[in-house]
Amino acid sequence: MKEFFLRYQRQIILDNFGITAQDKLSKAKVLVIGAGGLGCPILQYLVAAGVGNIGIVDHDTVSLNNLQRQILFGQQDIGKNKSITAVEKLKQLNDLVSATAFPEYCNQAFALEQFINYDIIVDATDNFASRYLINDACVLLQKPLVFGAVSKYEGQVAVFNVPGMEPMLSYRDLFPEPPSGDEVMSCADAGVLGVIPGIIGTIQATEVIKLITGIGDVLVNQLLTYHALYQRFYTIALTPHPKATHSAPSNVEEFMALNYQVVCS
Amino acid sequence: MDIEILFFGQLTDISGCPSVKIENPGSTEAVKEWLCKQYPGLVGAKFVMALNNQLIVVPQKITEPSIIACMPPFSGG
Repeated sequence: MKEFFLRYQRQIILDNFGITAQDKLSKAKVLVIGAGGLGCPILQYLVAAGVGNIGIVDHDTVSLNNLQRQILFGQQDIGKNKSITAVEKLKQLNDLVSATAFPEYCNQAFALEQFINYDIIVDATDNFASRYLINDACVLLQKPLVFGAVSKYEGQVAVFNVPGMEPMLSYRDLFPEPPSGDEVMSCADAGVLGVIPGIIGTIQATEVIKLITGIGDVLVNQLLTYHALYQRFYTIALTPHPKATHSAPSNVEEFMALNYQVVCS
Repeated sequence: MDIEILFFGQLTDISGCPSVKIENPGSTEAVKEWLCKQYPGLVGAKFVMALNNQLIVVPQKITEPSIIACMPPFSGG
C-alpha cells in the first residue's frame, strides 16, 4: 500500500484527483489496439498512471523503420511480436498493472469476444479497415472509443460513443463511408514525423484517464486536429450524420458479414 | 465580406497553402464548388467541411464572416 501511494504521489496530490481517481484507474480495463507509433506512448502513460488492466492487440513484428517513432522498442526487438514485447517492457515500468498481450489481428470475432471485457477501447491502428471495424464493434457493444490517427505533420483525436453522453456519435458520423484505396495515403506512403504519434497518442492517453476518472471535459463528439508545422490545434464539434446509421452494420450478423478489407481498399 | 478557408492533411498538398481568403459565395455548397474549380485536385479527394468549428452534414448558408475548415480522414498510426 505504501508503494501505491509513493508511486502515484504526484497525481494523487492533484486537485480533483486524489485517491478516488487513483482507485478508479486501478479498477479500469482498457484495450489498446495497435502497439505502434500511437500505441507506444498510450501504453507507457496508461501503465505509468496505474490503469489496472490493459490489453494490447497487435499481430505485427518490430522492424527497423518502426524505431523512429515506436519508442517502447529497441534494436534488439526487431523481428519480435509487438504486443508480447510491449507487455515485457511495461512490466518493468509498473508491476502493479496487469498487461495482457493479444498477438493477433483484431478481426470481427476478436472484437465481439474481447471488447466486452474492457471499459474503454483505444484505436491506435494504422489503416481504415481496422478503424471502421473497431468503430462498428464499439457501436454494437456500446463501448467508448478513443480514436487517434496521424498523417505527415498532423494528427486527429476524437472520443466517440460514450454511454450517458448523448447523442452517441461514432466515426461514421464524421466519415460515413471509408475512402477508396487511392483517396488517402498511409504513413508508409506519405511519411510521418516521429513526434506526431507521440503527441497524438499522449492526447489519447489523456482522454482515457479523463474518461476513467471523470475529471475535466473529454473530447466527446469533437474532432481535435493538431498541426506541428504551425503549432496549431483546431477543434470542431460533430453532429449526427444522416448517412451514419445507414452505412454501419445494425446487428452482429451484418457486422460479421462485412468484409472490411474489401470495403476499405 | 470575406471568409477564410483552412486546409488540413493532404488537402494542403493540393491547395499549396494552409489557408485562403475569398469573397463569401453564400453557402457551404458554393464554397465547395469554388474549391473544386480553383483546385481541381480536390474533386476526387475525400474531406468534410466545418463551418465555424461545427461539422457540416447538410448544406448551410454563410451569412457572416466565417472560417471553413476542410478536413480529410487520416489513417496512420
